[in-house]
Amino acid sequence: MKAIIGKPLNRVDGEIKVTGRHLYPSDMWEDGTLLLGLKRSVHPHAIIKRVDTQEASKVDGVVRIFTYKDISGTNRYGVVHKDQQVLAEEKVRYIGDAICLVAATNREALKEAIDKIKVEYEVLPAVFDPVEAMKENAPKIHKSGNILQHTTVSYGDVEKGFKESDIIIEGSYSVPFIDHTPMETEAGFAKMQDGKITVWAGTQTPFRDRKEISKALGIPEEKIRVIAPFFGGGFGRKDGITVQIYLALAAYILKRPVKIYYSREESIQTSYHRHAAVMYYKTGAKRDGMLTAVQARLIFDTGAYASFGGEVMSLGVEHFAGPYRVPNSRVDGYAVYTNNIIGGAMRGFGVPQVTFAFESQMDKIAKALNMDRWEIRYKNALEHGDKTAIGHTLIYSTGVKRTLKKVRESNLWKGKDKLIAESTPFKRRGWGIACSYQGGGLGVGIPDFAEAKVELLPSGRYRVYGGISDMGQGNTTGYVQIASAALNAPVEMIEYTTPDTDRTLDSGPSAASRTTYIYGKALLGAIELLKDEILQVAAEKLSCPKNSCKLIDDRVESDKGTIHLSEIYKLLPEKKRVSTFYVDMPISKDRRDIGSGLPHIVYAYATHLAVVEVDILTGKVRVIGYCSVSDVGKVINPPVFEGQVEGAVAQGIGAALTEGIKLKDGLALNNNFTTYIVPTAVDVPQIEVIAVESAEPTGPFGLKGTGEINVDAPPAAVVSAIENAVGVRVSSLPVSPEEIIKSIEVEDAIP
Amino acid sequence: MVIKLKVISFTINGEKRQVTMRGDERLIDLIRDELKLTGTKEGCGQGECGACTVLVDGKAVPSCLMLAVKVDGKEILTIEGLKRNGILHPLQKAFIEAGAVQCGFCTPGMIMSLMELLSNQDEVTPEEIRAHLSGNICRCTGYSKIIDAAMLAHKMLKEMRNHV
Repeated sequence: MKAIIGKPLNRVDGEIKVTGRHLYPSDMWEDGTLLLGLKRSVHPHAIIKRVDTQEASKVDGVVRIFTYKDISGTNRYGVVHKDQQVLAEEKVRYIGDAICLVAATNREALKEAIDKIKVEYEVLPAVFDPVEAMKENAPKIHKSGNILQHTTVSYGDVEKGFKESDIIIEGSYSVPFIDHTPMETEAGFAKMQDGKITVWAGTQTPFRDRKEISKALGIPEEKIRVIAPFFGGGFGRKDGITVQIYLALAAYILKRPVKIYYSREESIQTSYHRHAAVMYYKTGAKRDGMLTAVQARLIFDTGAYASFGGEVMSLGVEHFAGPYRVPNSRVDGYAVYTNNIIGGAMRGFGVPQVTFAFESQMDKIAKALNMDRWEIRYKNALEHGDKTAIGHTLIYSTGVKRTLKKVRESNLWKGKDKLIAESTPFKRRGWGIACSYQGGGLGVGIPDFAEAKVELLPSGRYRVYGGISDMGQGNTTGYVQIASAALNAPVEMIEYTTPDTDRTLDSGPSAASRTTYIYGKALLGAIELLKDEILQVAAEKLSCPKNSCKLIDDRVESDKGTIHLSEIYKLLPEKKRVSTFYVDMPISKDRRDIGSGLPHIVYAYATHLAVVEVDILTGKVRVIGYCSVSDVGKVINPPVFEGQVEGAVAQGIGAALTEGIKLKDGLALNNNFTTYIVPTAVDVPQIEVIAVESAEPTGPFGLKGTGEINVDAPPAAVVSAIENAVGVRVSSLPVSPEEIIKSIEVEDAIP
Repeated sequence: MVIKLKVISFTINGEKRQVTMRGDERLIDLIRDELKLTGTKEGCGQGECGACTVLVDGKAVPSCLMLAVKVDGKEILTIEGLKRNGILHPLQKAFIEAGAVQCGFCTPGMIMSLMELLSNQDEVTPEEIRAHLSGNICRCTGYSKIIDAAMLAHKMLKEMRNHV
């Protein structure tokens, strides 16, 4: 039955995508559809004195201009803290806060009306630096103060640890806001259907959206339906409300179909981002390289609103000292409000930031001790049963050492010296290494569950009601593959749906490397129940013991005969044709007292190897070789796994070398692909992808999760390679060619 | 401001069409809004991401940068025009088989760009493919599997040409 697991399977959504047939949220349209757009704040911090929509309302083609006064609910949303307003009431806190929602029949009218809305402001002092924002006298962005959350964890005795150390390395690191740039920006369509507000949106969280829409607009949940078709990328950006409430509001009040699709500029300025952070580290080690103590202060800039600020920072806290044994530690994390763009969920969720910082620390220790960079990592790497740097025990599969061993068997490792030696004049090459780990699931204290649903159809085929959004990662294909294996039926017999609050069951967000793990686990449970019903009925019909009946393809076989599943369908009572099964994510058994969202207990691990070429005349860095070894548990579908790794590494290379939003007083200066540079096909090398498949006892078929782990290590690996090539240690991302040239010693530059 | 309307005639995916467009409307507006061929995507509106790539007289162009009235008398091919008689084009097949599709939003543009490159080329290297696709952004795949798909399609197309 498991023959299909671990084998390549073409994606179930492949054909509808390569033919252009699939309707993405931005493609949906029907006759009479109105276009929606937003009048947004041009100031980073201001009181709204007056909003004048009179002239704008007269624009030919404008149907309605909404303000907060049109909203009868709380007008608030936010995943944890409801601190965002659907339409601003008195105050705006960043450039982009929405003030009016405009509905018009055409694009030109929409633009003209938005331009003609007059907003009078009283501009307030603003703050853009999180360190400044933490000070007493800083402008207050929210009544509660600028520190959204402070998470602190101690383990062992950090002072004692430093006293016992032979060397102490200190360092400070900074990373900018990063944009996910999914190829489809925030988009959706809505209309009234069967008396319900029905919203189709690019969303990772349709069930949570329904709750948010309900509360914000004051409409009962049962009058709201949210559907998440396959959409054009998310990476965390669509983990929560973007356009959903605007769509619901307009469709509900106007009783007409409406659509919205952000421009790239609007998306970059107003959506969620990877948090900018400044991080201060102090690390102690013995002469033999063993870590004795790590202390850190992490300051995450969450911008104007909380979104996942506290949770992302907490994940940074949890992973702050990497996948290593650290007997003594103390870490203080702060998520701080500023008048910058909003920080939120992005693939890695706080871990890429601290991985860059701590892996840099590891390199510095190795250098100070004249130790090999691989060796220091291997010596300190966590093993099953160890306690992490925040003191909780690793009780499940722990494969970081295996990834370290395996990387030495890679082609790139074996070929790196030759590759480096082949460098041409004015170019220097070097290699770098970095490790990471990434907790799967939402962590202690946050409801984290899935409820799978599977149905036997009249034809004898099956349908899996996928409850977790597929933004492109391929979890839907994973569900079909798991169902095919568990039902002992060919893939062609398995139909699927994507999430729909009216048809599928709440299974939580498409996030946290959890989608295939947790829904797959629930699905196996639901299938067992359905199989049991099928075999029971077959046994009765065939007059034979149940355990002599076998489910094979589209029929049940036994010594007494064969019965087709379409017959079984007729014999089964209606409610027995559908089965559902609920599972919870496992959580840490110890250290559950730290705070919400940490620690985790199921971890993926990785070791990355990068070879770079630095042009010593321009400072430009090119990644010319890359190998990822990751332990994600059992790989269900190798090409889908490789695609996840390659895509994550590409994003990580972008974060290392070119990506980062340049802000001036809260305004994103690089707000399109012309200036916000993401890697293209010529910037990413062919990546050597290796899986270390530690069998995870808690996962379906032994799988863990693969969505995020490979985005964490690339910046650290690239920076490690740059130092190896030209002796320059970069501590601020993205790597600046100017900084590299300035730091290369002049005589060294002459070949 | 009065913007002139113009009647234009063109062929799209083998079908002759005549529509009236305003002088300031873009080719992508004609394709997506007027003709409802939504397989062509808009990812940036500035010709930087390549998601809106279509073929005009066999040449790959970002349809967000071309005015609609410019296609008067021309032949347009979009992703919807590749599948013929129920059979996928080798590029479409290769994208599925090589695992080159994730979210799929860049896929139509990638395929249309590759149509231009691979249509009549006897030999092609992965480096040439990478260079040719440098105007098409994909945020999901890291490009490796797209290059694999292009090489696979190239092989299939070459075999087809040799059989004719």
